[in-house]
Amino acid sequence: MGIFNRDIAVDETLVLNALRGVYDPDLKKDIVSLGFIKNLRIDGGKVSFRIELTTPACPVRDQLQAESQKAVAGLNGVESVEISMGFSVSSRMTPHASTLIPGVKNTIAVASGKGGVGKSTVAANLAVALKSFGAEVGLMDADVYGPSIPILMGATDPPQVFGNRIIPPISQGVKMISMGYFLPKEEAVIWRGPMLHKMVQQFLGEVEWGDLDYLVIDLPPGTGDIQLSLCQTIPLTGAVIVSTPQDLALEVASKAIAMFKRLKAPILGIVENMSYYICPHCGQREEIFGYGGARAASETMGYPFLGEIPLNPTIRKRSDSGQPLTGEGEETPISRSFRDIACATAAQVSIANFNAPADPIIEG
Amino acid sequence: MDSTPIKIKLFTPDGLQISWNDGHQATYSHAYLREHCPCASCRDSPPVVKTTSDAFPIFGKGPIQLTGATPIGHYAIQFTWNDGHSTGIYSYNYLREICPCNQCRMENQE
Repeated sequence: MGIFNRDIAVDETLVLNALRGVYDPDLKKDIVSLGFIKNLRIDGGKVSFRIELTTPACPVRDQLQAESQKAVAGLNGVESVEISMGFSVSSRMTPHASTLIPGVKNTIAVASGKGGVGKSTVAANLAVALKSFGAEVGLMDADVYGPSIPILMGATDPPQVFGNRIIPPISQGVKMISMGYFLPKEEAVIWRGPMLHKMVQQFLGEVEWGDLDYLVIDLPPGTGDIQLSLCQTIPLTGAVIVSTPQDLALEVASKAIAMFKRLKAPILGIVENMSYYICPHCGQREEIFGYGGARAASETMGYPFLGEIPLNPTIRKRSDSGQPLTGEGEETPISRSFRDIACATAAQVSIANFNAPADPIIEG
Repeated sequence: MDSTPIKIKLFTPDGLQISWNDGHQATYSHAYLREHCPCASCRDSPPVVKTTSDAFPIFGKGPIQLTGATPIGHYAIQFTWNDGHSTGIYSYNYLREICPCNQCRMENQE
């Protein structure tokens, strides 16, 4: 490089300063302060770097890439900009929890107040969608009374057990555990609290989860022993509340929200299931349970609305036959609505991790 | 209403100390904490907490002592005691409610 063009030599500070103008709209901070810029290389006028986001399916991924490209390309002396996009899911697990589930970065509970609103269907499709984005995902069926994950995921063969370690079956790339694997079909779980507590601990601690970005936990309905045990055993990253749009369901959902609030588990947002029904014969839209109730409720309560799913026979058929709708290559309006919810959930996890207050320091 | 501790010191000469996120400093004697154990059996029949040794140790186990603590989720702390009791899960909100300082007592009475 000649002495005369030294004044326009590109250096790291210059590039980083330019990138400070690019904001992550979710975390409301610039991407340099957030530590997203990795492997910055400058070779004369050629600049290359990697942007590492905190979610695998950032809705603003393309926007951030384009803005960064523009910001750096506009600098004096820059000839070319090469940006690779990646992700590294953030985590706020406490040292105490990480002794139980050392490789798990985030735990997402899927909950509802009322039963029958589609928690398990949402949980299964959420898990498969997150996996399809490239994340490592586990799915824990904590609904011991009505374990439905093995059927929904089409994996009913029991897991292998070595001593007290359980090797979770894998379906659609998602590791799973369920009480359904340990009970004969006609048997039921009739347990009191202490047994349920033990089960929650074993499902977390004795299953070989390995390294997971997200562990999705399908809860039974209500605000009982299992919910409480879960919140006591691990610090939840947050809860996704599923509700149907009618007032009755929303009323009961607000009880579940109140519980998570008391236990200081962040509410990641609300999903509206069975939002509407399109008649296959005449194409008319019927709003069987009313429409938009969950969106309105989430706005009133101040929680994010994660998305809506229609009432649709395809979902029922695919669920009963163990074929989630969000696997790779699925491109239907329904799979898209599930994927949008997964996308929004991942974004909320990243926000929750970013905003989580520090746990207290306990000194002996 | 929604209080979060920043730091919890288990063993100070005056007992347990909590620095809250709003700047409040609280001190609880260990005996006071044990008396206010929120677990189901203690709520049912509150424990008689001894703070001094009996003249004849054979009649009692001596003064109550805190032996350890474990964080519970993001919302609570569980204490273990020298008499083996450990079922009390003290939510941070509860600890704030039972703060024994004069100011908090007055506020809670209102």
